[in-house]
Amino acid sequence: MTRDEFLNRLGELLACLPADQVKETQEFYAEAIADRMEDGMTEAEAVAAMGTPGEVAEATLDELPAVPRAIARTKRKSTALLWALAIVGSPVWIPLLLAFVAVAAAVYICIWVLALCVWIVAAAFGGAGLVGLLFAVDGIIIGHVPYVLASMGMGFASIGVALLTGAGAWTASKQIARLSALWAKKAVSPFWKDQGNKSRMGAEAAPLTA
Amino acid sequence: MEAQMKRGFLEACVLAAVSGEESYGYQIVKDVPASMGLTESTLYPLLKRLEKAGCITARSAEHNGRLRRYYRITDAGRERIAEFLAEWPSVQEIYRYVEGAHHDAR
Repeated sequence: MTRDEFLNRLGELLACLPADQVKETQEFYAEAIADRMEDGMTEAEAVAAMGTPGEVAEATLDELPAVPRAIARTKRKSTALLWALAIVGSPVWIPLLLAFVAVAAAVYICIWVLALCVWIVAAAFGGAGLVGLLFAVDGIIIGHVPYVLASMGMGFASIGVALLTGAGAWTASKQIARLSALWAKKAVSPFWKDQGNKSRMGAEAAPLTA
Repeated sequence: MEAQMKRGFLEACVLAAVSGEESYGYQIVKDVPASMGLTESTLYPLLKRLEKAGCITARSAEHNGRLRRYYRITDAGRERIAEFLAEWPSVQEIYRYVEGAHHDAR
């Protein structure tokens, strides 16, 4: 196989990827072949050292997240097949996709309802505190000193608790924002991969703990 | 070699290969120990991944009338190498345990 044959075939096999990624991949292998030829290999030897275009395409597609990879693999076999599967399979994959979105949304809402509960408790204490102070004002109007003191005490105590709970709610919200960001990342991972965080240096520890 | 384990080793090897002078595809393939069996089709996705993770940077430069892509490690990449090396004592401990158990059983 010549260099150009190899690169063209690779381009065909990767046609499911964006054009710039295909070009970049072809450039990488063109460089590798040129470097091997500079090192004294013949063109055929250098091309053979790359592996078959099929293997090379497979290795490139392996890096994609699950869903685009499955689409790319099917499309590679035949575009018609992909469309046929998409249409024939629509009674299956559309409800599945909807269910997936619904579950993702439900988990997201559940996470935030927790934070909302704490905020509501804080608001309730705040409200009770204000009413207590209002009672104290009433007490002043009727001139009943013990009632004024008791109401003011209740009011300030409630406001104090509200402030404490509010601070807790704030911290909890920040934590939940972090959690929900993590969850969102997990939810989209079959479709879109944040490659930077996916690859782990400590991979060799994984089989030992698995 | 177990696949996950090999992945970690390969990543460390490629980072090590670009940790001194900047290097290019074929040179990296030649530099990495032969026992890793590194080929271009393994290297390319790995370089993309490392670049995306900010562990290496790449630039194109002319070589013999064509463009060649050169890679160099970043501070984040060096940190990864350090993490990899820091795991050695625990790996050793596990090997010692397996070795010991294997001997005792015989």
